Amino acid sequence: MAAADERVDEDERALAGPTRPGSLADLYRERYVPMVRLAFLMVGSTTVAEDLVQDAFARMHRPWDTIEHPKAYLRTSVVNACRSHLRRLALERAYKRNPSVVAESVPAEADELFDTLAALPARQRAALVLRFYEDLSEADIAVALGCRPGTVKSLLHRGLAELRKVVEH
Amino acid sequence: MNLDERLRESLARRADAVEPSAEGWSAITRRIERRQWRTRTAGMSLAAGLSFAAVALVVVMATVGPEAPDQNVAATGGSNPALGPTTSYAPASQGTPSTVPGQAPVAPGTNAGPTGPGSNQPGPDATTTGYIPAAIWPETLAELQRLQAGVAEGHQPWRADPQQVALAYLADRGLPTSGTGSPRSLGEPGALRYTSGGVGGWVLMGQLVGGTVHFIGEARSDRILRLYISHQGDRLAVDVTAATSGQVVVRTKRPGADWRPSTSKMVAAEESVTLDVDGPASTDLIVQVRHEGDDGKVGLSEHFLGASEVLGYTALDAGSIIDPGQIAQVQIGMTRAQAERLAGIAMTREGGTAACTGLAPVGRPEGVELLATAGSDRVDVIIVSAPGVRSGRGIGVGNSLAEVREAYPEAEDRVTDGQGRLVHSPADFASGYEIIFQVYDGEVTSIWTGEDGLSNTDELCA
Repeated sequence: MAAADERVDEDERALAGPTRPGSLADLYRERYVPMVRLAFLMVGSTTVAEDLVQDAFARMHRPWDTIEHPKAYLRTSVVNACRSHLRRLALERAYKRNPSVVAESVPAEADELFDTLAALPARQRAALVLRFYEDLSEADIAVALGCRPGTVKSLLHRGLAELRKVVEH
Repeated sequence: MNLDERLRESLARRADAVEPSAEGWSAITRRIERRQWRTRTAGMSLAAGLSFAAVALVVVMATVGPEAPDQNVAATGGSNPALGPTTSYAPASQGTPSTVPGQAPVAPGTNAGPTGPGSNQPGPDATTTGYIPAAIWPETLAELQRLQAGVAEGHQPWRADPQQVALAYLADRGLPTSGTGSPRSLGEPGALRYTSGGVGGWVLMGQLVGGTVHFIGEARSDRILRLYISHQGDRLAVDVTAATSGQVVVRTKRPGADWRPSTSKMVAAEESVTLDVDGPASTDLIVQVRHEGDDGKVGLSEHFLGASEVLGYTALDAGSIIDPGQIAQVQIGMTRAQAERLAGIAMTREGGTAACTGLAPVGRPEGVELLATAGSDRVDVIIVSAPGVRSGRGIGVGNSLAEVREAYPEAEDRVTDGQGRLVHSPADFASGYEIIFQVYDGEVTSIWTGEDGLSNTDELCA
């Protein structure tokens, strides 16, 4: 994990400036909007995205002083929250009770590529969003998703293969 | 424009159209005020405010705070006059303080300091009138504050000891506590395992923000294998599967109010029943599921159900499903402590090598093993090597090669002359994991699951 930690350090420096946010409020000012947008790309709803991101911020309050890399920590927390949300929806569907209706996404012009991305399995979608929206390396994506870099390669490969079908259609 | 560029452009365009609410910070500060000290699902948070050591043995010695309770002290009901059915937090039996200490809202960025459910040290001064614990015992913030004031005056000091609180809760709910022994930590904050009247279970605990008193946030019994609670209008549908035959009794209440009339049904061992229970969707509820076994033993699960929430869990048993990335609710990537809690049964170290640590459930189900590879304190591989547990498509140990091929036509076939592996890597929600059917003499001898690439690792634990 040492190599991954070094990459997190590089990523932290690349994100913004040499200094760690002084407070949770500073982190909010800097990263709330980008994180809501990231979460939206994963769950498809602005309302749900804000809910998950706000919870991620709230969870950082108590251990704030012990978090070494708050921006990376926040991003991982948001990604995990999105995945857990999608797992909860899957649980509801598995029990065939009235599943939660996924809120409508932000209305936009038709985008077949994005629609196909939205239909991909959650981990593939997460890997693609982290790669092509957050521009993370495979190693950093592995840290964010809690898996091995080899798994990230596989997720990206399969996800792009599905998207390629749309492009070449 | 190639695919990479098109994808970047599409994502950026969609993301830029999202404008979050201007009330984000206010919403966050409200959540901080409401926040309780407990951990609920695997994979939600990387919080590292506490440190503890988790050892893969049934009896776990864990450090959860500066004054972790002595795990080996056996507490009997007779040795502590505060325990037993007479223990009550009803206001009439206490010396009620005339005032409640004033409290201030939590300020963002406040240095919280180290504290935790296992600690008898007071938490930070950032108490708040807005903080509402999701607690089942005691049930309300007002009650917790009243008890805290009492403890400050020297009344019921045991309320600052999580193990004593756990025992008092069990007694209050009518579960036997004599000879129970002291609940032991599961190695994660606030999770204590207990055995009562021969039935095991665990409680998840929290601590009053800014105080020392502990509360129960959730209780689960090994007797209740599967539970799913969802709102159906103004009613709750409660699906229950119990380990043994008996009667299931379900009741609900709003925190601080009286219990509503209960609903009960007879249940056969490991068969699901659904109970229709009073439970408005617009309000927080405490839901109690009690199993009274034909063998005379009792199991209790009790949960806080937020307004409009659903709740579900499945313990590990012979009817569990192994699917890519998980078995029942134990998932690849969980810590061993999390796996034990979500499996619903204690784990014991079994087998393994210098390169791997093997964990197996104590008792049922047979033939299930969780492996953590060297350098990892998390479950990396799940193995089933006995009949009983089946895959999501119905394949278990003992099924024929032909049956596996029929159930998984898309699996990668590496079988020659009846020996080898069939590897299924799903292109769906479980993408990123593999499930492997090991075949010997044309029959499935074991089922494995782990991350992609597991099937290429022949010397995993060498």
